[in-house]
Amino acid sequence: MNPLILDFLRRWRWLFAIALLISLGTAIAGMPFLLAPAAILGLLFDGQRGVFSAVRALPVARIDQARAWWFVGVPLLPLLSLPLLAIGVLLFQQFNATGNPPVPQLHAPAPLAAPLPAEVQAERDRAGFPDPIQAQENGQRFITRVKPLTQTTAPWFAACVQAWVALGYAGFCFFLMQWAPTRPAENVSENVQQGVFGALWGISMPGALILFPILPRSPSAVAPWHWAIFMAVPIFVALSYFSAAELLRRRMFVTTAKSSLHPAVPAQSVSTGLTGVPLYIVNFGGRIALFVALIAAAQILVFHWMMQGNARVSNPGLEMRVGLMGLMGLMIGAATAESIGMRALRALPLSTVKLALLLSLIPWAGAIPTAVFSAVWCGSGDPTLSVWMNLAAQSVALCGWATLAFAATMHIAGSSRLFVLMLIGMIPGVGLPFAAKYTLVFTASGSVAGIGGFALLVRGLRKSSAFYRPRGFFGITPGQPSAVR
Amino acid sequence: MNTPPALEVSALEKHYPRFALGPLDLIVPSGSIYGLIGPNGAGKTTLIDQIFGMGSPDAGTIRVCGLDHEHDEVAVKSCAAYVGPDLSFVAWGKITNAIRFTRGFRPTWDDAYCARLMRDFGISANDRIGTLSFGGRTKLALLLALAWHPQVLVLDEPTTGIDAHTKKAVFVELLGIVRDEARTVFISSHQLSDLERFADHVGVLHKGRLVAEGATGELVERHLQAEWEAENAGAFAHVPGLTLQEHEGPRWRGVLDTMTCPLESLQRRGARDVRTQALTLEELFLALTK
Repeated sequence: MNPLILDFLRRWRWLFAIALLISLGTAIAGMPFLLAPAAILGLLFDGQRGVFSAVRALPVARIDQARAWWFVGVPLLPLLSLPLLAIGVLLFQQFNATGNPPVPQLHAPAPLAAPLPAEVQAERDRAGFPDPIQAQENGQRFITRVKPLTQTTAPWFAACVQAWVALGYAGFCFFLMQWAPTRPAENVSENVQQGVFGALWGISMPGALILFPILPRSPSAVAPWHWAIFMAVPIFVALSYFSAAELLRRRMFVTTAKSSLHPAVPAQSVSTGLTGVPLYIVNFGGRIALFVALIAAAQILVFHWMMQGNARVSNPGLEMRVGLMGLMGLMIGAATAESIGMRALRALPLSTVKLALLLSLIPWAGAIPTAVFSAVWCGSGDPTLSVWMNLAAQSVALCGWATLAFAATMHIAGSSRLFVLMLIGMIPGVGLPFAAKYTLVFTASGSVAGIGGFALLVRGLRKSSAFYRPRGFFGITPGQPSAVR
Repeated sequence: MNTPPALEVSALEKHYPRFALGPLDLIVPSGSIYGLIGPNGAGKTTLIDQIFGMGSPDAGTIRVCGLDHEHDEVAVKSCAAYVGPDLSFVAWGKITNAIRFTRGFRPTWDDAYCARLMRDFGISANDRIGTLSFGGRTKLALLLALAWHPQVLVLDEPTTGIDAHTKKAVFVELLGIVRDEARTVFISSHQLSDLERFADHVGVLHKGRLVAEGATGELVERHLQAEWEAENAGAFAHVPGLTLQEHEGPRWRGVLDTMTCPLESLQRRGARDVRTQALTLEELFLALTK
């Protein structure tokens, strides 16, 4: 069991290092935060790459193998982060006591809301767009501008809350992981099961980025829903521990279909309907656009719930909403594009430039709905410009960054491409909220990124061998682990 | 009018940090089955990747049906089909979607032939690609390559993972399209016994270089395994056409390419008691790529 744990730590040491550095840094800053799903992400990659299958022949009892995977996935990161959180808290207290904080206040106090210009409001009313207004007072309407981040007054409490909830969160993800598909669905019930898993999994990973910053930082901030989370922690830890063996069993053995029992379908049935590029656009572009739209709508609903005061946190603001939306839309589009068999496409009678254009359609299909939700529904952008101008500007910028993100990740065959994707995704994610003030800069930077990304894509199609290596869609695609290919 | 070769590779070079392909010259005559053999890592897939633009060569040219693979890339891919082990159609979901997608790019797509191939390969349009075994996916890739009657078929280890019945069906199809339709098949494979039966020409690739090439029967016939005795150890080193295999005391063993190194040349160098034996393609491959 120990060699398995040490091996996992050795292979994912950089991931653990990032997560631990974040916990140390945020604790020093007085805002403890733990990147709870980091270890689970490593475990998921391992599962997809066939590590579970590869170790099954080792002289380690299967129950010990299951316990090893549970240990590295659930309690290891919170345990390792405890001393660092403690050091961080001590440093924070030390510097605070001397009146010399190690980091400046991230956000100076600022007005929480700003009035919406009357002409913009009039235009929105005429167009019948959903109301982005979050507050109304004395007949004046407001949009939220600034989300103040404050340091904790009870650092030990805040750090313990982070570690405790991280334990439960990892337990929840581990428990959920046993339903990760090992092959594509064959019937409706499998489709539903995989859909539910996909939705929960899709929420749980970025959900940590939303949940952990809004956990209480002092005893007085504890709300009833916090108590529910605290009490759920031991339940999820226990569930994950007892489901480890089942998870291992499901990931170890991959079932493939036997030779087809269906009679050969007559040629006529495949000779109707869309073909070629139109089929590609509908099949991939349509699905991604729909998926991103659903995710964006879900995000808006979650934030709406938070804004009602349920989360007992300060208003998350337009910045956070559209920022996260931008990051998600861009990541989903770019990540999906790389799952399309590059070798199959390259052998088609398409020029390199046309093929690059065809491939770019998928990240764009993720970027454009994001821009629609951001500019039209949330009303982000320059208030002095029309909604359509904001939509066009944000579409151009997001498409550009999405193209660059896709092209950059295609040049990397290893798992680190996920972090390259996140890194590039964060640029428009951070930039989108500032589109209101710097629309031209945001659009121009996106255009440059898009041109550069397209050139990189064309270059990669011609020269990069990494483009044509098999990819596991960042470990979350249904299908056989690559080890059993 | 002369028909250009189906595939013409001239002075091709491709360098990686730990591997170099070429310089490589190779000609695949039109209307033949050409088998490319070589140990793992010899450069077979690298060569095939270059043909389809999956990476660009550092030097040299590739012409398919007389067309330059870079300047006429669309025309090249309109006349040549590709099947490889990493070809994935999983993203298309069902087989029917992959067929419909490919059909859109292939004006010569033959629905009736496609249906027959599906029957012969035992796959159905309703099957989910992700649930197919590795062999099933290879069959699909072959079907998508064959069903539009390409002029040149480039197959990278197409029989890996498929059963003996399907393998036989595949070779029957390949022979059929070469004989009846005068098309060309360029096939890289480790199935030496199959290639010996079906391929008209064979090339042996080793460490990025073509170490032997020719019509299959002629290539096998002209190579002989030889054993002899000799005292002069230095006389047999670096002799063109002689691949030394073993040397123990005065006894020597090696493979002779009788075209460049006839038996007499061995005797001229002091070889006594020379005994020769014919080789199979597999034995020749093992000797040349040791």
